Amino acid sequence: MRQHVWLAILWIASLVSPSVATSYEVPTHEEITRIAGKRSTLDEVLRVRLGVSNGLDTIIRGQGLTEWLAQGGRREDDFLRFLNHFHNPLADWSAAGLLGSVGQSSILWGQNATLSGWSWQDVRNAYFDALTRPTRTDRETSLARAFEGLGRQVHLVQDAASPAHTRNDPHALHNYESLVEQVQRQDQSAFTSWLAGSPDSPGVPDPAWQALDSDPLAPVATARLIDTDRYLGGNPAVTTGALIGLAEYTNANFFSEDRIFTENDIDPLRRFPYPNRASVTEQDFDVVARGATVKRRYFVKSSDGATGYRLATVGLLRDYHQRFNLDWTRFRESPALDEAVYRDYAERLVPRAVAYSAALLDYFFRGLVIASGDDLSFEFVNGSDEAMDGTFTLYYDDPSDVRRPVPGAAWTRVLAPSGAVEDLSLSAPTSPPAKEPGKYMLVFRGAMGSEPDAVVGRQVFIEPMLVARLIKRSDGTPHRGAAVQAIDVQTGEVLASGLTDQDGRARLAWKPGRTVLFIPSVNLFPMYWAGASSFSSSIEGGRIVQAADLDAQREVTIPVPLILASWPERIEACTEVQLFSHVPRGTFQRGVLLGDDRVDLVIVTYTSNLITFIRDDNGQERDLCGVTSPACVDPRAAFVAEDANRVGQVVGHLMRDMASTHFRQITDAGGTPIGPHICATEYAEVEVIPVTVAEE
Amino acid sequence: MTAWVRVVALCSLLVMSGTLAAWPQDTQTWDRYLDRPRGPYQGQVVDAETKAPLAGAVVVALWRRNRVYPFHSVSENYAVRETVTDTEGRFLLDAKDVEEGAPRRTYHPEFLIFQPGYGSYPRKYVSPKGFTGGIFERPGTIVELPRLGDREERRKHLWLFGPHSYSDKPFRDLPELMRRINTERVAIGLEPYSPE
Repeated sequence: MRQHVWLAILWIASLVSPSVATSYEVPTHEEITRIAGKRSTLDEVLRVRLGVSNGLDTIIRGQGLTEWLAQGGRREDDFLRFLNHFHNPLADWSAAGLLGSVGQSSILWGQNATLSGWSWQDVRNAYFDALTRPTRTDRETSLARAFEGLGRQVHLVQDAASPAHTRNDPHALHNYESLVEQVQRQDQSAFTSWLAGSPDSPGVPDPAWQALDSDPLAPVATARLIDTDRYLGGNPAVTTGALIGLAEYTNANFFSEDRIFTENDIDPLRRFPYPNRASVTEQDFDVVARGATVKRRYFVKSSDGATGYRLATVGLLRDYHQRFNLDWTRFRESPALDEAVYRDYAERLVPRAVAYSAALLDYFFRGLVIASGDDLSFEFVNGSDEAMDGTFTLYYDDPSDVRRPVPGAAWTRVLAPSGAVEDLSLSAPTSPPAKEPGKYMLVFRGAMGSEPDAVVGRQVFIEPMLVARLIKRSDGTPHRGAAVQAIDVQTGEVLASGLTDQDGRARLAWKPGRTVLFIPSVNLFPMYWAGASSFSSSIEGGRIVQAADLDAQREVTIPVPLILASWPERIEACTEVQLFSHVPRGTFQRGVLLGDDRVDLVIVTYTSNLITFIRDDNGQERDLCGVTSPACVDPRAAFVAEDANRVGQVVGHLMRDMASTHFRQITDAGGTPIGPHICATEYAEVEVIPVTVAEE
Repeated sequence: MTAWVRVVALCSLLVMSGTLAAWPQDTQTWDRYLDRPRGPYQGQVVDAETKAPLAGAVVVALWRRNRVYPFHSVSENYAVRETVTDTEGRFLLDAKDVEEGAPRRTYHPEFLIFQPGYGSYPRKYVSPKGFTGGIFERPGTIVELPRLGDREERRKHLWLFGPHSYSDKPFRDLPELMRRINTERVAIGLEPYSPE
């Protein structure tokens, strides 16, 4: 019955008055919301944690995210929703709404998942969808909805900085909010200074509000931004601290249009203990009225909480009352709230509306998960100040921007602050593969602190890793200390480099579907692995590593041959050593004891005027050494990786312009010749010798 | 007192206050609503440092109205107009058609002045300070806009206002504003707006 009566009042009142029960005017809410968004961590969260590169500048469906936020601040006042924007901090929350029961307390409304449509949980759901929905369009639309929802949530906080909304006052006609809107419209510099707040008193809530006990009626801690339940009606001093709900601060320290000095009102819905007549002193101020400066007397708040501002005008009959000592209970003095009072209010309330709004936005994104490692072994850590109890799931985007959960990559855990889940492994998705391998969205859903169903998102990079194991093709023993690289076939970028360990293993980051393995120095020629034990000299011929190439330990074993070049050398008949030698200048000397102190001495000198290697397949010729070279290059330097697949085959010819001198003599132990030399022959010859691929 | 007596009493009070008092605290200075056409609106826009006129700055005028519904009143956009400053940085915005047909409780227009690379009026400007109600109703008002600094300052400045606050269809209603906002966005490496 009572609710119907008041609804009737409001309906009739709405027909005759231009403003009934509105909160801050729509443009004011919008601007406070924009400033709160600017002051919050939203932009950083979007860019750094979620990988939204343009942050708040991101445009979704034609509007920037700041506009979606502002739109929420605007639209929360839509038809009849405003009835749920009141909270009397001195009432039980179930009866703290407008006039007790006309509307729901703004705290409950903000968490009413049944009726609001934009409750905290609705916004959480939208955020979860923004992180996980398959299509990009759906994700973006959900993100826009989440931001609009946040705008609506901060609207409720801002209303707690409007005295009428905390003092059960439908506040028809000209009021605090309309004055603030007028100043916003016509004295922007004053409004801007309110938004900025005073450096001495910025009105920023003590972060401890997040840890206060939750109320089952509205378990999400944001309720405490509005009402901490620390101001109980008899302790206004507590409202000057930073650990106080905004509605408590506003209720205890300010009047609304129809709730002025109502500490003794017989109606409990109108009765508020503070401020009261003991909270004020009187003081004259100069004010400008219609261009003239006049004195006006004000009640100045001097005790019982916040102090030092004009609380109300002193009624015109104040002197009359004092002079004749009239009975207060039978005399209405009619103090009022004028522009100067409203400006003093706004100077204190608007910065708090901004700061508390920013606090709510930051709270929404407070969850922090930090991931490190690679997919062979990674961990994630709860970087938040609160325990997280729920499921962590990895998602990835395929080449069509479809977001998909990574198969097998969901972990349900309870993590204390700084708690970690360690030594996890992951198989990089291949069907379909990731658009950007290694890039994932890690999404937590579950209880976080007092919030029963929180959502945390974090873009993480978990590099896919493989183990390249190089073994000798001939006997299967490991190649130790061999360099191996993973190369992106699309960009040519070296993704990772490593040296094989004692077992021939090297861990390499890779991109599934676009990586080839490069072995630069096991042989004298560079080799791209081409599958099995074959190799290519070009990246195009390399095999793109497939998941099927890897075993359960993400290991690919590559039998790599040690390739030799082989060609026949003739033996000189007299000295019985090589006729020519593959060195530019060299001497060979051998002495064989024959007994009776005689020595069979052989001395051979070699000269290479020019040695070239000519490949049979393409005719390319390469000089290996000449008379000016200090050493000859091994013919394998002219080999290519494909030659590793041609063991036993002739791949080219040596063209040698050689000379040598072969000398053989019997000497005594002191080197003195005994008799004539056996031979002393000079050779000079140009020869062509086939070169065969051999394997060590 | 019974509840119905309180209803009648309160309604009577509201009727009296609504009809007789008629915004008793609204002075001439702070009147909210148009009592008559106030345009054309005029002014000059200059660089705050050099005092050089800013040609090509867009000037947007937005008229909101206070619409009363059962239980509620809301501020709604009623009309919006834009113009561009000339080579002297001056603008003249004729709003006769808007204001002569304006419904009751139409507010005085709000203005937005924007030039890429500069702070905007009224979000980030240098002068005039203080009370700005009606300043464009009379000649001689000069608005000084400060040149903005680095990219970060410019992008955060764009957060302070949005075209959709002025129109649901800004590309249709405010093409000059959209052109300049997009010029600014592109200049600082952001994706431009495109029509829905």
